[in-house]
Amino acid sequence: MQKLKLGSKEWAQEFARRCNTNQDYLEYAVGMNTSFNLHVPDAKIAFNWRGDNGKAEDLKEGLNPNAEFSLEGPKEIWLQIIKGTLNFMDAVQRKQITIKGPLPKLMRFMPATTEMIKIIESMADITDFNV
Amino acid sequence: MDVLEKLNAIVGEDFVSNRPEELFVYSQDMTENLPVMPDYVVMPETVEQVQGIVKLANELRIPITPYVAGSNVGGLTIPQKGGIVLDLKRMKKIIEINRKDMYIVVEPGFTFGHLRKLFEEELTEFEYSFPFAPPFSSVTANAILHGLGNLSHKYGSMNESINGLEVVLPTGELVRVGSCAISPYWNTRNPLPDLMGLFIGFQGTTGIVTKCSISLWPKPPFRSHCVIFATDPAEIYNSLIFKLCQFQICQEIGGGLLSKFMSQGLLPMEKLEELINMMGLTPKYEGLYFVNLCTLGAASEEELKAKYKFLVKLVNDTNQKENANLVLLRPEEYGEMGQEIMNPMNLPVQIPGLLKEGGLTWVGSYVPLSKWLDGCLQGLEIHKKYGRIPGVLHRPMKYGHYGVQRFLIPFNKSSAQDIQDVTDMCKELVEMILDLGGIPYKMPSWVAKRILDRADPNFVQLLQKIKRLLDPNGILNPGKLGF
Repeated sequence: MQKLKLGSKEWAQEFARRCNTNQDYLEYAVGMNTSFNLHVPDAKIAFNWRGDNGKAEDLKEGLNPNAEFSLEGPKEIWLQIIKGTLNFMDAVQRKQITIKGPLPKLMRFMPATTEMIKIIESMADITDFNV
Repeated sequence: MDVLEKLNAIVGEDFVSNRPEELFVYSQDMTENLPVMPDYVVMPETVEQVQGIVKLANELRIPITPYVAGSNVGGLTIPQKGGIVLDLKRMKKIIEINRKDMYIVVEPGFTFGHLRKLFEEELTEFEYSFPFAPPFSSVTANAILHGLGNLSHKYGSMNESINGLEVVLPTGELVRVGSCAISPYWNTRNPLPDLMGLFIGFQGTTGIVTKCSISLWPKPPFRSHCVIFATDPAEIYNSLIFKLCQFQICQEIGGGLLSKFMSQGLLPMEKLEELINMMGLTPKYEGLYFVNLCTLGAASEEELKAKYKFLVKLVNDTNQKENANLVLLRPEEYGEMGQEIMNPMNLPVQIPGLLKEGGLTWVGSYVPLSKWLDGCLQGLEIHKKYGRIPGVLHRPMKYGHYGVQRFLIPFNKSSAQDIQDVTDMCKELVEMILDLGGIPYKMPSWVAKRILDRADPNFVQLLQKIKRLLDPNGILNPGKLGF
């Protein structure tokens, strides 16, 4: 399988596809209607999407200033999470990843959020770690 | 011969003492209940020795208090009338393991630490219900005193796991009750008249159990631990807990309203609190978090996943329909902190944080599950009145047919004022529980008296008749049942 650069348009599309075909995630996310930014400032990576009962819709490059949630962290940290060498929650606790937005809402959907993180981790098979 | 010489003749002089420095250890426990020195401590190793000691005590009208670990928090092993403390620690053998009929027969000194080792090394396909108690606690004592364990959500109080008992009566005769009275198998208490009840919940006043058969349960090959975290116990007790009971998807449910203080050395409460603060959640009662641990068990990965999905759905529905803020976590997915959250699931367990000031007492009770929240909230008010940090444990038992409500109360054992405060507070908690229709278990004598005060007089008379019938001279654990 062709390796894709973290946060590239194709990478983001594959991420959205995996979200939208993951039945576990979609079941956990029933009622999770929101919007996200994923932001990697040091690599100038940003894309956003709308979550409609968790389903990733309207995937776009760039930051959406009206997105309800923003997940933000340096490229190295995201790569470690994708490689599986750093636990996402440990990274959040150490403030290596920040989550901006009305967090109680996200906490109420922890199983869906956790599954989404697993989907990000599953991107290891197509992520090019050398660029 | 005097009593000491007679006891020496029965068990050997290495296992009898009347030396004050050795008796002192047996005179008290960690609770506020007043210490009383025994006259002798005796450590038998065989059933025949137990019979010999009991016959001697009965002949000379010497009170006997059975003892294994002394780790209960109800003053149950304090020898209220002096006499002999019968320390059963040396009787720790496994008498029988029967895999096909799923039981083991053990002596009273067999502990949860021994049982854990047995499961880890030999009986890997089975499990039993482990209490929130130290590893040196007795399996038999826990069962005959209506203790509970981590699997009590499914199986009920541990007395329900007893299949058969061998008991030395207060007059020295040896009897067996259950199928073992008729056949070589200790597998059931059915279909005979259930005489097990003569020795369960009587707080050691009707006989000394020398063998106990307990059920083993097949360990589900697939398991997953979950935590449901709430900032307000009402978010769980308004409806979710009843749905969890109704649908019977959890093998284990338990936890409680805890503070950092109460969970020291047990839960990573500071990290949890930090995480919760970071997530913008605020506890309804300052510094108190409702941590509810659940275990799902299944025969296959598919079944486990289906159960987890159902649990997620129930929690999501509660959040959306009741505007709750429940957080469902699977600790295994949460790195280092997740590992620490798993600590209390590795039972038995030491609880160092609770014993910092030397004293620990409780009001433990079985309440109608429908009254648990009322009891919790009223209990919080009582704690507030006495300026104490609450720790309220919960466990819906036997899929919700009743529930445990347990207030854990650490105190400074060297402070007379603290002891008095704790005594007064426990009295208020007991009255509150009784008013709600709950019943304390593993209770100190004064609580037993309060229960009898409220009981149907005919029930009390029946208890007294049974006690007199079995123990005509009143030597066994006098006072422990309120009379």
